[in-house]
Amino acid sequence: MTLDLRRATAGPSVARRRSRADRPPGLHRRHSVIRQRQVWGRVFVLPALVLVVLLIILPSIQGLYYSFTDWNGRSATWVGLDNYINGIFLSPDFGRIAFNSLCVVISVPFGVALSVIVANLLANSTWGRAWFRGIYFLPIALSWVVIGITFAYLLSGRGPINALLDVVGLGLLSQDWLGGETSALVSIILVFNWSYFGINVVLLFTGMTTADQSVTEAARLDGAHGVKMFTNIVIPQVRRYIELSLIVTMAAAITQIFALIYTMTSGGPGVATTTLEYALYTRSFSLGHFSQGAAFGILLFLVSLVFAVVRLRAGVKADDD
Amino acid sequence: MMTDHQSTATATAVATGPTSGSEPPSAPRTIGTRRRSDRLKALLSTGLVRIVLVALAAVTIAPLGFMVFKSLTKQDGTNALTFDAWAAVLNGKLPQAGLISLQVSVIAIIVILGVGTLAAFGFAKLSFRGSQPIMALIIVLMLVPGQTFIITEYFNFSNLGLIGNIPAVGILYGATQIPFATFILTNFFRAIPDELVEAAIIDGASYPRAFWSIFLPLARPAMVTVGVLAFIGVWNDLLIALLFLPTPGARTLSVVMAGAQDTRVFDVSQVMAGSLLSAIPCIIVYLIFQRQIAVGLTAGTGR
Repeated sequence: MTLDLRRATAGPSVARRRSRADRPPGLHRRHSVIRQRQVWGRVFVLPALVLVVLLIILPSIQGLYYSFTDWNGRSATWVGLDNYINGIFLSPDFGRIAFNSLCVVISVPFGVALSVIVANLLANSTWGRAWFRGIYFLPIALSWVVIGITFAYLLSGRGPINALLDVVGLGLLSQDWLGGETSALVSIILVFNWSYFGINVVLLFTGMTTADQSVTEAARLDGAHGVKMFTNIVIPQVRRYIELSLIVTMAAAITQIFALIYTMTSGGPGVATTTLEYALYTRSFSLGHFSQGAAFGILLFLVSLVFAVVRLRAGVKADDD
Repeated sequence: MMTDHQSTATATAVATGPTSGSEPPSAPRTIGTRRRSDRLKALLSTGLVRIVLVALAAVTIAPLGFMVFKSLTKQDGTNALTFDAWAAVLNGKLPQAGLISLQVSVIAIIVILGVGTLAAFGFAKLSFRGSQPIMALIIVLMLVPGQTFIITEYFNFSNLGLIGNIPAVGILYGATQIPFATFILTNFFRAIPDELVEAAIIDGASYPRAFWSIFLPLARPAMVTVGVLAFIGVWNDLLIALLFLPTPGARTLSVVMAGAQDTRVFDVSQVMAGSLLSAIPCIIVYLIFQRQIAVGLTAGTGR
């Protein structure tokens, strides 16, 4: 209430209106409308704010606190940076875990590059366009669980991929793909990129078809075509969309790959396919080191923050030219 | 359609050889000026493009086709058609789990759309003092991955006795998506003219009234987009459901499937039938709302 009273007399425009000799009823109404808007704006936003404070901000702050403690779910004692230093960075498997996360992230630009090329092909060919778009986009409806289960079977020792290799005479290559350290990691990376391929194609395709066609047309009249057209005209035109694809897919590689790993390899063999995100789960809920898990959670937040800053920077640069 | 015409025109031109000077009138002008080898090249590249597109479509759809095939055939080497796996799956735990998934998803969508639409209306149309810092907070929260708070959240829920409580977990799902939903909805709502709401207010309507009868009908397309993305996100999530709904009677489809997926232990046909069954609602939603999903993705981050 006090806030409302202050606001009623604060605004200079409101004060000026008030100082006029006789207030017409319309102005009086407008004044009350402004105050109403202030009140209702807060009321409308309040439920979202309450939920977000209780269910995101509060537990995040708790997580930050517990990441500096030795915590078993009940009692916590302050240990400073011990969870980060000894629990994460100096733990024997951290090198491999960070390497795995890095590999998935580094694979993303290659996957997105393929998506850009295919989106361009699709944008230039109207043959069955709606069908292709529909098919490429379909994996967005499939959950990581379903994708993981299916590929775990496809890649298993007696699975169809090995059978196929036998048929085409490459039986030598057939193996339990998810059983070997390297092949398991490669499998996870390929399946991850497979599931984002079509989503990025559709995203980039949207960018290409909504881009200013007159530029493309002018370039075509000037004799640009093929690869030149693609690198000099199309890619600059959809750069924003490419950035969006990269950032969305990379963020997913860091924070949304849990269910895929859970269903395909459970992080194994050993820690060969354990990423930062998966390590958070195993440290907390398999090993009971909840404070280390909390520290991993903070680490993941910092990584996504870095992505956001990079994205913001890229956006600023794009605005400059 | 253009390319279709172009390629058929090219094909006939190549077939008729030297007389290709007489193009069909519908053919684009550029073709007439090209040399014959160029036309052959164009034909080749069109063919190549189509092969690439079809091959990639096959790679995308193959796993799904394989699931359908496996779920409908006998695993004794004969590959005979059978509905045994589907019958077993439908008589097992999955329909109950599907009901749980549905409850959680619906509660989450109600929370997201109810709370998110109100907040987005506040941000987009009622520029009150303090709205910008709160909006900035919402955007920062979009960067906080669920993993950052999931462990402490788990213990908070546990202390309150809410582990296995379906409505509570539905609300949790809703809350995790509120920042993203509010952000997207606010952007959509900014495109709706202010005058519509203002006119109603000048005419004496209250803000809730203007929101409900004037604004909400206009906001429906944006709400559909956000609702569909929310449904797919919640229905397909594993981590939260795995931790917060571990009790046998409250497991979602994802949790049941993830626990019964090992094809070395379980029957392959049944695993594939179960996977398909758990994916069908999302595939239906996808087929109906494909366009809205694409719009939502373009509007920001998603999935």
